[in-house]
Amino acid sequence: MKRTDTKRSGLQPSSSPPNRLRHTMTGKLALTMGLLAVAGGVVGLGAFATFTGTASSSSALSTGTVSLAPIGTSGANNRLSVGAAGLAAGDTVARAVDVKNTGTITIVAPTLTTNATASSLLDTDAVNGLQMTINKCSVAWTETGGPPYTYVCGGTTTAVLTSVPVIGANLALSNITPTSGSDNFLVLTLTLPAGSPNTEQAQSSTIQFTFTATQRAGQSQ
Amino acid sequence: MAPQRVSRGARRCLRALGTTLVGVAAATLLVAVAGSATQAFRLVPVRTGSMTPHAPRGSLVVMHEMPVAALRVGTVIAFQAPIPGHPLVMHRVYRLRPSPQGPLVMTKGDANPGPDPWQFRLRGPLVWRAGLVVPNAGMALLVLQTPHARVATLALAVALITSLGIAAIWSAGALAPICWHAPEPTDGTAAWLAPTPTRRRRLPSASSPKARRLFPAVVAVLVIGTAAAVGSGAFALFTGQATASATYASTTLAAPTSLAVTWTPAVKLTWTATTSANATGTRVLRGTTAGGPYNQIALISGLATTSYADTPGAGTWYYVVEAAYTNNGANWSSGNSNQTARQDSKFVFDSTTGFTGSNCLAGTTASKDMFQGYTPAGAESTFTGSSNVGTIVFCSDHFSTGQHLNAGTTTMSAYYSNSAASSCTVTATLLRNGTTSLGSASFAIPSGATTTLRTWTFSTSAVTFATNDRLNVKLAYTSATACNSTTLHYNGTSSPSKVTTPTMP
Repeated sequence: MKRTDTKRSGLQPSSSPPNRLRHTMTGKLALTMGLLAVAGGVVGLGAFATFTGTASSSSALSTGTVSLAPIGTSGANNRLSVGAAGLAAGDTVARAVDVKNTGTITIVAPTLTTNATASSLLDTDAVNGLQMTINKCSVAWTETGGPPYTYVCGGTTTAVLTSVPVIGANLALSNITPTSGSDNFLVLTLTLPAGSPNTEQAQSSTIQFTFTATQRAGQSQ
Repeated sequence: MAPQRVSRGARRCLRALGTTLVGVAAATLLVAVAGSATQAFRLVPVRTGSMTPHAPRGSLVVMHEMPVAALRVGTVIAFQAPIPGHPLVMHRVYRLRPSPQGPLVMTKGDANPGPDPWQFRLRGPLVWRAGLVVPNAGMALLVLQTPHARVATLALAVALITSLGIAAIWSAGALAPICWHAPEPTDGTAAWLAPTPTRRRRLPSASSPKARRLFPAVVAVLVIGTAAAVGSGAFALFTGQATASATYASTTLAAPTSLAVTWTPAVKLTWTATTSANATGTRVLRGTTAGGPYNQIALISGLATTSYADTPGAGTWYYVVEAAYTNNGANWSSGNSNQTARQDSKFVFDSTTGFTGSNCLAGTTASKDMFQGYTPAGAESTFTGSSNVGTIVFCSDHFSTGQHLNAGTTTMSAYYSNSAASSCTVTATLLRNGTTSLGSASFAIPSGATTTLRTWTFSTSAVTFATNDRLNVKLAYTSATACNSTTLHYNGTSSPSKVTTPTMP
């Protein structure tokens, strides 16, 4: 307090306006209010910027996992490993598969990549070879027969992939439920076009289907 | 005094720590800002873990720009991923495919089971490449960049500065030496500013107790500044995969086998059905040239039927049959059977294509059936006159009702030898069912031991057949004595005897 008194007394001879302002109680109050207003403004602006900038903000501290349930041959909703023989022009092959997010976080950009580990005109002829379509049912498909399998959807059917040649890289899948633990009951249908020529006879292809899901890039937690 | 000394020592330590922090933060800020400003490099913290162990989560990566043309598989690059939100992703180049618009790039996180689900083209001539990786150095920045930490740090800094400001205001100008230029200490009134000139000079070095109070605020501001100047971080995104594999095979339609054609005299095709379960029928095709092209003349549904009759009219025709698969617009065929069959426009008794040798007319001493499609035997057949036997009859298969033979000229071309001294007379007759003559003529076989082709023609009348009617050619030696040594040669490739009727409509 002694030092403060000294300072105060030291300032008294000064005649500059700021010094005079700081001498009066009103001036001190005004300066304080101004400072607080600016400080409040800064904090407010910062908060505002933070909360609207969610697109680039971080989830660096999350330690989620990304995984899809492995596809087996057991069960009516995992038939993708079951092949087909004796296909003729116009034939279709329907196979159910449950693509399930077994990770702990939501996935983005689910895709399907297919490649032929054994190749023939069935996969190399984009026009007359096998064509692929994927549909999703909101509940598990009802399977009959087997094989050949036929499927009926007891819920709502949505298109996941419209008809494309069977070989494709990073085919974007629509209407996939991305959240952790979600089932995606899909039926993948391969069609040998009715117009396919005689050269498509006696062909055999082994197709590998790889579903890939990517961790979402992060969001405000 | 002892407690005061300890407190002063601790304060000195804190001051040193503060100075170091400020220095480090300021240096980092300076380097980061300089790097960003000159585009020499960028500091990017890694937010997620799929590049482990190369750049684990929390690493600080120094990024350099490099020409896209120099990009190689294995280079770690940062790019805006083509997924929603376009996050900055740092992954390794997995595959490069050159294209006129720039290389097509596929990437992969080191810790991921497979490549990323995208493929993109790098725009522009430069790409950011990962250089030096400092583990954990990015962690503090990432923590600072979380929304809560940012708000907290900002609020703390502002609170500190504000409280200092308020303290200065209410202590009547304590901030003057820092906020404004201090007046020159020309008189004693300014003695409060600094007891000695030495201390005043040390003010900017932050050793003043009042300025020292600003350290936390300055540190906070510098740290926030650094966090802001450094990139907000790149993601090394984890991916999950599910894989299945299956084999798909198309069917093979096997061709029908054993195609044969008989002259009835309508063309009659017979075959053995395909063994393919997928086949839905048999396709019959006809062409005018051996080996094709062939046009479909019938598609027989089902596999039970294994024959087909055709009346192609005048001409020489070639037939093939194929297994067929037809369903909902699909139309597949097997390869065709290799056996083709010829059909002449005229009815022909042809020793090269079909005397089978079974009796066709009861009671006839020697008679032969004639079939098209017959493969001639290697050995030649002969028929020699004798005192008792002087007639041979060749038979067609059955005709159908309404089939017709035009009136006209029948041609006989036959190989004969006659080792006797005199000529032998042979009578040729075209018969319906072995009884009704349609025309006949007699020819003399002159003496001559050599087998020679003899050709004669004679007129025959028109006939309309009933079901199971046959057509015959009868050759008779008229003199047992004169024709004892006369021989007809047939059924061999060296002496292809033949009788050709008038045309069939």
